[in-house]
Amino acid sequence: MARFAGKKEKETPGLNMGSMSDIIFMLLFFFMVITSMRENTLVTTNVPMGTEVAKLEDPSNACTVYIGVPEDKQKYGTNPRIQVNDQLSKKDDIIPFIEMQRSQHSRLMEDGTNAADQLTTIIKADKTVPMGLINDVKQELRQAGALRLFYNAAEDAKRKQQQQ
Amino acid sequence: MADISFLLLAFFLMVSDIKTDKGIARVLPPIPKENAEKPEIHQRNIFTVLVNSEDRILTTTATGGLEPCSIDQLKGRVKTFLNSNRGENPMLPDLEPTDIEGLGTYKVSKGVISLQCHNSTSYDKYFQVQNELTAAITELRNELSAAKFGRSNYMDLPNAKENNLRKAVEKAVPMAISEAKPSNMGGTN
Repeated sequence: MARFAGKKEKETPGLNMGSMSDIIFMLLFFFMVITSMRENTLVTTNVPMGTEVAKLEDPSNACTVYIGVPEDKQKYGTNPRIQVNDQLSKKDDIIPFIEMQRSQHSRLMEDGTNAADQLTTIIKADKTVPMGLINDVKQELRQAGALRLFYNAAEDAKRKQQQQ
Repeated sequence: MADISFLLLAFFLMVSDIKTDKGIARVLPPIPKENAEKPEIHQRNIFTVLVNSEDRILTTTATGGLEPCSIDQLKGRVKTFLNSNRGENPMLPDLEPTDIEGLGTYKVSKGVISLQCHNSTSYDKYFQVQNELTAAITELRNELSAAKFGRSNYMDLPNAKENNLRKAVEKAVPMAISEAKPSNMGGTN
């Protein structure tokens, strides 16, 4: 039986790496689909925690206004500021910002309405920001006719559990 | 090839983040037209919530005065005020029988919560108050949903175009929050 008597030391065959790139590409596409580009924030936004938070109904039809203390305190000071369009802004910049967002989100919906009319403004504000500033922003949004607001917050799972 | 794809993967992991868009949705009132008449609201239909510059809360009492309120008490008080599943009470808001599709005639409370905060109230406190108000209204909606449709969470109700039971419950217990312009009352800046 010479056929079976052959060499005794068998080498384990090396792992075929040919399909590795396919797997990694698949992972890459998966991440590209589930994530979105990180937005450049110039202000710290430590959002409040709540128990009644819900998901945004239509995340694609939304724009964000950041409010908080600038990260670069030496350059911009320590007063809370508004950030739209990746830059620190004054409250007068909000109406042009909303108009720009409207034109970007303008498309015809199934029921014949324009999606831009349903544009939601996400307010991503730091806990410590005084309401005076937030109310200025809200007033500007009213002037611009962007009435749908969304106060961004984190879910307080601990408190929710305690209540149940 | 694998190296390139690894590089791309690492790059995407760096520049992207998973969006966690959670929060509380609200609708702002439109700017009133000039010479528009102010709607008259009877005192008994208003539940005032004041938050001062030191983040302390005052609410209306049954007798019409104001009394301090902790954040934990707020939800209970709002629920008693807005609950329409009760008899006529001169201290609590008017109940208006309304025809709602899917619910039949339901006594809808005409109560409105008037929320007013100071210019230096912290956003955190304001958010916590909004959170409690949402909790109170959600609980009332859930109670109604459990009593009428046997679902303890009204968000589980069907909301198709026809027979929109969720919308019916939302109409029966409206999100009636009115926000006054902030003032400088109640403390110094």
